[in-house]
Amino acid sequence: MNNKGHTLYHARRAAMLIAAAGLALGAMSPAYAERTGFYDGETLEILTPWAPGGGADTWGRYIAATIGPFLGENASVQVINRPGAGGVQGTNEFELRTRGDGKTVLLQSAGQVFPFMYGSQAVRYDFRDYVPVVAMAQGGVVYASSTLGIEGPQELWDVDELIYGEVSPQAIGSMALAAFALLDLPHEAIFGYESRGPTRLALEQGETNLDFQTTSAYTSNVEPLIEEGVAVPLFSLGIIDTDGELIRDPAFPDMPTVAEVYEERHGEAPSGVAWDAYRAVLSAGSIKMLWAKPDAPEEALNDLRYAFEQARQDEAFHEDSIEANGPYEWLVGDDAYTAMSATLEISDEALEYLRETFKERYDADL
Amino acid sequence: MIAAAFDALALVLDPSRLIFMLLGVGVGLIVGILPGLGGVVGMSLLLPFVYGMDPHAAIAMLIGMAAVIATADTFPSVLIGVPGSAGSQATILDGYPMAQQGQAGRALSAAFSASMIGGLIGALVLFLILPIARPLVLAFQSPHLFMLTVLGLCVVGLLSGKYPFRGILATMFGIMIAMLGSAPASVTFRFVGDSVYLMDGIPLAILAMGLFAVPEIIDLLADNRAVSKVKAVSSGWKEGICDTFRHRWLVLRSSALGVAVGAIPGLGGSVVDWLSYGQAVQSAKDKRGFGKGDVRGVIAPESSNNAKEGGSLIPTMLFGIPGSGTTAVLLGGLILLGIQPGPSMLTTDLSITLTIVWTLALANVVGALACFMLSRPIARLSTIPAKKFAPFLLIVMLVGAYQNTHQWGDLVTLMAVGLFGWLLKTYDWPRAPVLIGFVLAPSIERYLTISASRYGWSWLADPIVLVIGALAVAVVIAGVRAKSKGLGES
Repeated sequence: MNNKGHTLYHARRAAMLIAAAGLALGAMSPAYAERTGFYDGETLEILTPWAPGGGADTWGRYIAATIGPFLGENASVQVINRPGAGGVQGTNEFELRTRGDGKTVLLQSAGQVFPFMYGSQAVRYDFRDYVPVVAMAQGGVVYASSTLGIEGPQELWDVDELIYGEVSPQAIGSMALAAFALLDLPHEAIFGYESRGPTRLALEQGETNLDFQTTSAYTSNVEPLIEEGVAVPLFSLGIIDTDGELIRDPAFPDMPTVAEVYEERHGEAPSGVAWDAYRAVLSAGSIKMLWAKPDAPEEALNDLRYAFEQARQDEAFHEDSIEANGPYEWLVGDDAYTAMSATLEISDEALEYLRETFKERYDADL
Repeated sequence: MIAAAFDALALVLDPSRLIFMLLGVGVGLIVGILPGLGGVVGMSLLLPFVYGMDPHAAIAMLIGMAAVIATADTFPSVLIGVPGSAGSQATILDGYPMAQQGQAGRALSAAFSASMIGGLIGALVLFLILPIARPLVLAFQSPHLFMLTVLGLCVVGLLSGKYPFRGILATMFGIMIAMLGSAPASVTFRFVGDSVYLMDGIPLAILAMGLFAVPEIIDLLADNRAVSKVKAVSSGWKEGICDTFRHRWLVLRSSALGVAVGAIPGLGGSVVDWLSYGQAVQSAKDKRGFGKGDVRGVIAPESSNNAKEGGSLIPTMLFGIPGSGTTAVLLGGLILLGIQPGPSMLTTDLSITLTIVWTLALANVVGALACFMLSRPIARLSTIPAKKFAPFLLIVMLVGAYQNTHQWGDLVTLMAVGLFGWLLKTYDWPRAPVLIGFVLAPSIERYLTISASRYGWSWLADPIVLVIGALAVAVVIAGVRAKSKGLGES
């Protein structure tokens, strides 16, 4: 990962933090100045670097449909789709061509983060240069086919052959692969499925016997399988809270996280380079986020954060959001950055560990 | 189920919702008629309005739009030899020669009536098969899907014209073009150099327009003629409807094929028209007229490309796995409405499912009627001299191309592929195989990779694999024998 402008950003961020702390006087939630009216009668564009219809696009459209009233008088919000190169193309456009006038924010999801984290040649952007607006971490669950005859995660090591279906080494399913690496779980991975839907089908067909699904797909399509006795839940990936800690997934409060499975097996909490690597991959794969350009007007940045802070506390918005996005929190401003920090500030050792692990286990070059 | 179906019909026929369905149908007509714009564009236009709407009204609007495109896209295919969307390319082979012979009216009315019946069959199958479709979809594992895509590729043999060898080469070339961009199963990019544009490969819509639309416009301009000198575009309506009725078994067969291809995720609903054309040629006793204006070459692709919409909704609604670009966007719309596709579509969300089925049926009828009414004014377009008409057409196509990724690369690619397509056309090389190779290559590679890494060699002995393999060989042999009679693209 390059460090261009990184120190500068940290200095800027520290200054912002100090300013925010000064404003908040140590209060728990960061307070923002009152709305300046920057977006009154204006249109905010959410640049979404994928075609319409995917998970990230839908999250962006949810925001576009609901945040307007909090953003300003007659403020409208539009999603602009710029697909290409799995998300890299549109994000490069944001870096190179979008003006810092506060009228456009970038939607971040796994597609652009993995190439950034692994230092792909095509990437022209660095998220650490941008200003975090709001984020949401949405988790997922690893489950198995009941043909394995196991009842819980601790029995996984007694199974002859675990077969896991995957899209590619940098798709969101790689969160599960990083979890298997942390747990040191022997398994075979079959790469090449088109997306997570087909991997789920493959488990139902018996082509694979281990799978991972994000929360929405899990609740609508896997829970019925569990009721039928076709599938067995194992553990959730957990989500990262505002302190950067891994906690139980609020959508699955009764399900252990991968960290708990580790602890039960080894008698101690996970730590070290495999743990750092897991959390980096987890936040890269599970967090959706809006970023603004650093040269946007202060009023714009203030109003964006103010809007989401107000919305977060609004009863009706909160209920709608649970319905649409699951019981996940809106993380505003610096909380959003903290949630992403495991990825954005991944150590060289953790990156090296991931590269070596994927090479050794799957013969895959990240 | 039947009682629930009538309850849902009452929901759909509620005037407030009917308005939204008609709105969707209107958008679908426009998007279908304009070359280069397809279902994804139409969906994207409507998606911003969906959040917060009454779910039944919103779905009526989205499905109304999607159902009509495959009907309306026949206009440019028949009248000017340019595909209106990816689903009606095969219609050009016989529809366009018919228009040139002054039989545009007959071709259009055969196409619309076949489209309508195909769409209705698609909706009916969707209704009947949804409760039992789960095991059917689950029956196809990766090795079977691999063999099915190979079978699809073998149909190319029937479309290669007089020169089988050229057909094989053109297919290979299509497969090669598909290799541009990111590889499945790994994070490598092939043949892209430093171009970020190429990382996603060439968009299908651009390849289709480049191969079929650009060469047509170049030739029209070079001759400065109108497509159809004969003013008789408005005659032959009755005859077209009679044609559809006369070939009712072909309509049924093609519709069944359309539903099946649409329902199998990853088989590529965008080549269903070619596959259908292939089976029409295959099953015909007298093959001489194909490619020269045989009405069966219009009826087959048109019935199947409407039927495939019903088919591709099966995996979309039962498994949340979109069968096409259009259904992928529809999935996003459903989620915005708070509906998560899955097994609940047959229980708690049954009324939504039935709304989709009814809308599909109604929109097909309304869409076909609208096309009949529009056909007289629109058909006149084909009598305008090319010099007046081509610039307008070119702009529409460029805008359509630019819709894909909003990059200059789209326009450059369109021109490059267009030149390549023109060379193929001029030197009598078949163009359909290029496209079929392009569409099926990713699936072939994907399923072969999975089959090999999951089963080693053992999958080759699977009985279903062997049966489909034998079928593929039979299709190739039939294709070679048809060659001696010299059919295919002229």
